[in-house]
Amino acid sequence: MNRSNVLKWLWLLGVASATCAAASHPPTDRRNFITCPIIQDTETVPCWVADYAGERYFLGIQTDSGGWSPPWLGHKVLVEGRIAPGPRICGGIPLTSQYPASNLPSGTADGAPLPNSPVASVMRELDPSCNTLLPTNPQYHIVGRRGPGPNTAESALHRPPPPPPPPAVTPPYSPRTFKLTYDFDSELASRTIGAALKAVQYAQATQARRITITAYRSATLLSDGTLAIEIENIAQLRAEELGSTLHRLKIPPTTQLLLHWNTKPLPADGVTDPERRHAEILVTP
Amino acid sequence: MRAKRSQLGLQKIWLLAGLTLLRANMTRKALSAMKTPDALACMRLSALCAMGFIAVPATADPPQPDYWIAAGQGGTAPHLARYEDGQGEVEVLLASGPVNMKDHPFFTPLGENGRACVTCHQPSSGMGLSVETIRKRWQETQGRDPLFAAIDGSNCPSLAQEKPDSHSLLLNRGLFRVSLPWPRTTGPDGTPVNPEFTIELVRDPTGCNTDPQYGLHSPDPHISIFRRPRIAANLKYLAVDAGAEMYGGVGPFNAKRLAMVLDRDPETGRYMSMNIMSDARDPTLKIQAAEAARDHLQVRTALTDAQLQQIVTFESQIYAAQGVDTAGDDFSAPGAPPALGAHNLRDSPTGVLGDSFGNPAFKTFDAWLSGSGSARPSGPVPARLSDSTAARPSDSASAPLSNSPSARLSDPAPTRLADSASMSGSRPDLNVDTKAHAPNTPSATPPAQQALRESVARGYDIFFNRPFWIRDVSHINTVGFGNPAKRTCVTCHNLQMVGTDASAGWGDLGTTNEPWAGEPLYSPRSAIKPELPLFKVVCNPQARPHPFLGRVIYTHDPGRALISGKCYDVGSIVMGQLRALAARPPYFSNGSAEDLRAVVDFYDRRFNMALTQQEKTDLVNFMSVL
Repeated sequence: MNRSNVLKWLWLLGVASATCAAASHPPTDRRNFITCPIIQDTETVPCWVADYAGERYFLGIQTDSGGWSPPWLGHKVLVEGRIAPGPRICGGIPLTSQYPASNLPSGTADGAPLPNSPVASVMRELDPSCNTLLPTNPQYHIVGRRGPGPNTAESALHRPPPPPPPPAVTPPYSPRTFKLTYDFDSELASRTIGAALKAVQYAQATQARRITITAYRSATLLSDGTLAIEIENIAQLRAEELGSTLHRLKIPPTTQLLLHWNTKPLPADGVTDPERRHAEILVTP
Repeated sequence: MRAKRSQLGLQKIWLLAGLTLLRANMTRKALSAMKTPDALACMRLSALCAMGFIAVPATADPPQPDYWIAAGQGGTAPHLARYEDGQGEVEVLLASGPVNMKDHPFFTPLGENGRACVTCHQPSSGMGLSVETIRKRWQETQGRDPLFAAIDGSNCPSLAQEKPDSHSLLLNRGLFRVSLPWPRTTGPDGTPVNPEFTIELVRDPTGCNTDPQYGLHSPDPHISIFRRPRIAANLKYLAVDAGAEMYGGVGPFNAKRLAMVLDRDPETGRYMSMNIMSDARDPTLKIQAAEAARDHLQVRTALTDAQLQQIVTFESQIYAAQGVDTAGDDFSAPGAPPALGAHNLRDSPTGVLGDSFGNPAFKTFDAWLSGSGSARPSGPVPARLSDSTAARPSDSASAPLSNSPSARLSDPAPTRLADSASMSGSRPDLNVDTKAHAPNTPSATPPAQQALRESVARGYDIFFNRPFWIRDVSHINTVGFGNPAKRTCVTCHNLQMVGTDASAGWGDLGTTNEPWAGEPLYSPRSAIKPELPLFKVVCNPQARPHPFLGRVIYTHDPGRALISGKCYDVGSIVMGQLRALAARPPYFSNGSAEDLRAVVDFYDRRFNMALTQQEKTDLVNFMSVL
């Protein structure tokens, strides 16, 4: 059996196992779906909402770069979250997640703090049908940490402090693993890229013999029981992008860099799927 | 000795001739008569000669026109000089004091074509190059100035160089040819680049992309795109160590969340802000100077380290800004708005995020408001800049850098070096015709002058406070704001004092990509034809597509993508700084906006801003005083 046949069989096995996993549904309070996002303007910052199965859900508000990443018109969005307690916000049932995008509250709705936003992955390809911008609704009282104009926060006056120096590393050196997570179908680990820097710093401190990157392809169990599986080559793209990043961060010249990727989609449970979209950097001193 | 006597003799002759001409001019009766271009030129020449103007070379060559510093002309560049620019006067401040131009590598022709750095970075154009200056130079030299060198001052080196048509992009839009290897195989730091897209030529009005020697399919394949020169001034804000001097630059990553590692200075290993070039390909001024010497000056052997260092040192202390507006406001006078004028650029700190009420991008214009607020637009007015910023004690931006070497020189009276007759004018919309420089106090201000001041202040208010839907801009809407984002101009033009992006600031605004680029369409009934090449970019199916244009993109300049090889970078251009604007039209990297009004119109169209005519005028007036 040649290599391409092996890959084909592996791929079919992956699809089969993913299909098996799709036999179940996420817990009842979960809402995982792919749809067009909708932007609902308010008298302050706009809200992002989405319709699914005859219901409207609130996702979050416009933020500054660095916090929750709102969706994009022109693209569908994969929403992964659970129903949050409390009243509707901007006309939608609020969704939330266990992944706070920032350690600062993003704002309030009718005086109550906004919940953490659900995970929202912008789908890779264009979809011109996603083009709904609802005009200002004066009944929605949103106060964002950042308004639609310049920043009012005191923190904006000061340049962020430089990052602390990496902790001193002392022998005996042991292998360490650094994990990065990704948005669905994305090879850019925007939120967790700091782990790559830590890995390089550890490799530099230990003059590591080897760095092994292993990237994964994943899936999400949607609320309707079907599976959304990432594009076939996403694990390879993640591994190569991460390898390039480590090179640019200057790994020691004597360190061997190995790239591995796993094209078989990891099993999905509809709850922890965002964490499974990941890559690992193993630094071996 | 002989040569010296001859030079002294020539100086005397010039002095006498100048005094004679000046006396003749001064006896002419009416000031209005002197406003004709010829009379003005005569006055200028005579006055300059009579003063023994420092930039006039003491050689046997005729004096250079006052608006133009020729490569190798010698003389001294003054500490502070002003030049008329059609919206008042632009000023260029050399913070370290006057500079002897003789043998200085910035002013000396170092390569084969007779150009120096100054050829394309003229003080009279705010250290850039306006298209008016280019045209004037063509007329005066019949196209023989080194500025029009075949290599990049023409549409293609293989064209007949004596014809104006062969230089049409330079003469019409101020564009120089930039020739980059394509397909690119390595990045600026030597790491491999595997382009995610192919480039097909859709049309090539210049012929250079199909040229057998210079084209995309030549033995040494290159792509020709056409770009405006950036200004060699205020560079302490742009050519910075990202970790130390850039807001948000707390590590090696681009703050714009693309998990992208910034380019390094190969000499120091420090991560750089990547805001110098329109495609961010040169991380440091030294690398830029070396590349420009090779590509634009056509040096045979690379510049020495000492030459490069001299150029970088010189460039790093140049500050250019509007110094006087059409109403006669002198921005160096007490009470002028604290962001205006070159001296404030010199004295302000770098790396201050201006998208904030605490440190607004161009500080405050409250000094120019009458206090009644009646001049503001009707309807709800967002929070005024003055509400939170005017007297903020912690405003580090207004703290003078008393220990800065550049601050040790006191500001002398400016040397007025040039009037560009073709660029003189007033503002009919405001009926401003006074030229007297006035104090910056509302109570002592003539009504027309006050009207301009308040228009500028309103323009800044719009720039800072008026939200609109920023939409479909890659590297803006894709970096955490969402698409669209309800924000204001300062969201992107956020670096205090210069209005670039405090992050590595490239994005696809649409100036080079269709459908927004706005190049004319072919029509049998129209004499106006498209001038720029048009490329079809096809991204491979594995690539992350351009976020708002997908995998097939029509572009006149792929911009950053020519360096990164990334599909999502196609059409992304690094923001240019918003200083000394009046002295250097046209605007955008491809010269597609012929004046500041065209810039405002582009944004109005692009983002459906629904600006009123008054708001457009206010924005133009605001930008013209920067």
